[in-house]
Amino acid sequence: MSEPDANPSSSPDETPLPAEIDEYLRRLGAGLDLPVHVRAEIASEMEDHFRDSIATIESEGLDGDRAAREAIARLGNPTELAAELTSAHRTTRRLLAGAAGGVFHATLGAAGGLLLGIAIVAAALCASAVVTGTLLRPPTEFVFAGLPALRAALAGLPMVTALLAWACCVAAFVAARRGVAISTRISRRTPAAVRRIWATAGFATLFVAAVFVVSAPQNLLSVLSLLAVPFAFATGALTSSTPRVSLPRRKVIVAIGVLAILSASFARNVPAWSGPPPDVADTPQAHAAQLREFDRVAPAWTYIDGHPLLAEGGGLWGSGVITQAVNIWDFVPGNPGTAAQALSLFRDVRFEAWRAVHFDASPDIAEWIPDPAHSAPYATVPADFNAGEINAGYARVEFDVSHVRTTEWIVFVTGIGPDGRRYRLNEPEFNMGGGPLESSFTGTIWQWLTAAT
Amino acid sequence: MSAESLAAVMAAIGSDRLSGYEVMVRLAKPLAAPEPPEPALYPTLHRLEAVGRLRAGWSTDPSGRTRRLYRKP
Repeated sequence: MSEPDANPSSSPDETPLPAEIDEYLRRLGAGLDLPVHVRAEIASEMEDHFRDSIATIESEGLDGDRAAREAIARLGNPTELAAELTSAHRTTRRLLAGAAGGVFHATLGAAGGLLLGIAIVAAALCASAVVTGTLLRPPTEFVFAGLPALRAALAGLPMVTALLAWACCVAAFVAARRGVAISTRISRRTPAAVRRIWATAGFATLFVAAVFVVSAPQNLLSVLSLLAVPFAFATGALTSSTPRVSLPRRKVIVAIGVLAILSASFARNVPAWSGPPPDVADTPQAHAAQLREFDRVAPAWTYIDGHPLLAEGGGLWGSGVITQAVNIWDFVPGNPGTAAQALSLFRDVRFEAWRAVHFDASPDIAEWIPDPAHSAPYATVPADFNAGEINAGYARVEFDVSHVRTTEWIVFVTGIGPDGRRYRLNEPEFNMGGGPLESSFTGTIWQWLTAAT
Repeated sequence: MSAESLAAVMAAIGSDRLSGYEVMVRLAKPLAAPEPPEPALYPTLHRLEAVGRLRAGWSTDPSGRTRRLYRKP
């Protein structure tokens, strides 16, 4: 009976009960293993009973104190009565109704929480854009210039997955709190027991869903964000009604955390503060260094004036597919040039998808080159220049790289020349303006964890 | 409480809206029990409510006193 506000309204002008009755009610309340509002109802009902009982006994001739003791004796041991009442309230019917009601209201809470989460993330995005574009612009540029890995982590579609996961964290938190509250009220189980059940079941369910079911563009940030969802649910369940951190303080902590992460994510899109971007490299020295790295794929076979046989045909990339097209350098429909004739001397002409890495050509210059950690391409596809998709001087390829964690790629075209050696026939830098083709892993967290790098 | 006692409680309530104490008074008269059935009465009422055989609600009488009353659905 420690929460008087949960007690049904009692008449304030009623005479106080004898001390023995108060002590009885205290012991009864202590023995009731039921939610607060139920304990309050029982206390009020038993208080009402004692008033009637004492009045009746007094009308039979006993004075006040003896009437109170007689009323207590008739009602029996408070501990035993509390146990009987607790048992009476905990029916299977109420348990099932509590579970169903809790799930229903948790679903409503999740819907509302998702809207709230999206609103919070959107507001944080706007605030972050303003902050990183003004006050934090120099430091964020400095950080992202020096940490390309962080830029990659915050880029592309996986960032969308992470943003949605953050909104889902809010939804899970709200859903758990609402589910626990309703389940406790209906099932008449103690909040502590209901919290533990909801936290355990919800965490297990959401963890399995996050790791094995939800398929989305992934990187380390999105994986960590998705894994935060079951933790948010468990936190919401365990802190329901008795938050360990006061609500305003927790809101401030969450807001600061979201703003910090989003500030970092926006910084990559901020234009340079001063000078050219540090990864634009077009000096002869950097280009020569890059070509030496390309020669690890195969030595270049040059055509005229150092030009390769094949020229840019366009590169595209999406969440899990990279597309590359190349043209024969001097091909004219109906009048194939000497490059086409030279190409006809090559056999086993193929596209090769190589993992790309950032290459520091000098302290201020960087390029993209085939990853030295891999001595072979990730995949190869025959290049058919006679398919005539546009004209006979064009070939195009699509690589499905959705289940590889690597996110930067370079596509080469190679062929076996008249001397029996394989040569590189294109110069990918021209296709991509110095940058690689980009992809993102798409799948579940489990697939991401077990995927090839 | 036995099935007979449950039936007796239901019969005592009849079509009225009664407090636990009023139910006890009605039960005591016909049964003429040497010891009033108070210890088991409230758990029985609460159990009948939990399984849906009784409805319970709070009512305030003209004197301002709040009482929990039971009735059949």
